[in-house]
Amino acid sequence: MNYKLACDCGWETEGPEAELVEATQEHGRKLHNMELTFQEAMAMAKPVEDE
Amino acid sequence: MGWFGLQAKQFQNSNGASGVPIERGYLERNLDAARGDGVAHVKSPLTPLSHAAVSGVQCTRSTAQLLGRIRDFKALRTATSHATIGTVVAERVPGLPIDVVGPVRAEVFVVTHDGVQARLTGPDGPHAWHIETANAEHPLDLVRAMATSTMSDVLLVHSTSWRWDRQAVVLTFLVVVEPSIIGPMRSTPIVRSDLARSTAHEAPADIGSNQILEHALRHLAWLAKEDPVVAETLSEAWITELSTYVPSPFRQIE
Repeated sequence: MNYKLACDCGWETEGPEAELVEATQEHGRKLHNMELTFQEAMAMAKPVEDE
Repeated sequence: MGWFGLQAKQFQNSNGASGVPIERGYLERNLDAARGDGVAHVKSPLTPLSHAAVSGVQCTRSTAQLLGRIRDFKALRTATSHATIGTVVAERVPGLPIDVVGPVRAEVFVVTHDGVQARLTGPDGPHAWHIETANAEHPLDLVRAMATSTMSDVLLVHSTSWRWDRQAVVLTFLVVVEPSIIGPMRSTPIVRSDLARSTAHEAPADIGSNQILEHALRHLAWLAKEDPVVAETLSEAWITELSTYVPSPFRQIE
């Protein structure tokens, strides 16, 4: 299942759980000085509906 | 001591996450207190969201903030997966990237002058760049480090104002960069704006990002007159541009 996550700064990512979390953690660390856990990242993700 | 005067004892669970156990019903009670501004003021270190959501016994700082954004708490309590949890998140606090929190937040405006006009840019786009600060870091050192690690040719980093916003002190910084580095970054011409004005008894209802940037550039105009290093660093184009701004010292925006 794919998930989508949008940061209010405009950055977005979409993909499987592990990839989405890794990208989000990197974005948080690099641009917002934040260390996000897996759970914190997934809490902000939304499942992408299959078309 | 946790927030709301909660006496809390640290724990560490099997996967190494530490946190603060919270009595059952605590979240529900404090969600009521939090609905006014959309953020639950429950602070504790990290523990799994799903555990907090399903049992209501433990929560994370981010979880607590997330919970404050949830209208249908009953649906959250019966959620059994992150996917389900995601569907019951009604809204997020607007304007903040991901979940930037903390007693002091840094807000950075990255600006440049292309010889024709002043432009707003930034590593995440032409808008305020929000950075979380940790207790041990000096905000200026942090912003300087973040700016130089994400962008080359940083000319100036300067704090310009502070304000109280969403339970935090927001320190605003102006970062001036060489126009040559705009290339891959999006940018937009800076639009002039009136400053926010408070009444005799109340702060203005809403302080817009343009107003904060307007004051930041007024402060840069002030620095260009008062600080020889700043004056020497800025280009002629910047000095000419700043001559149209009313110089203003560092101050609280209220």
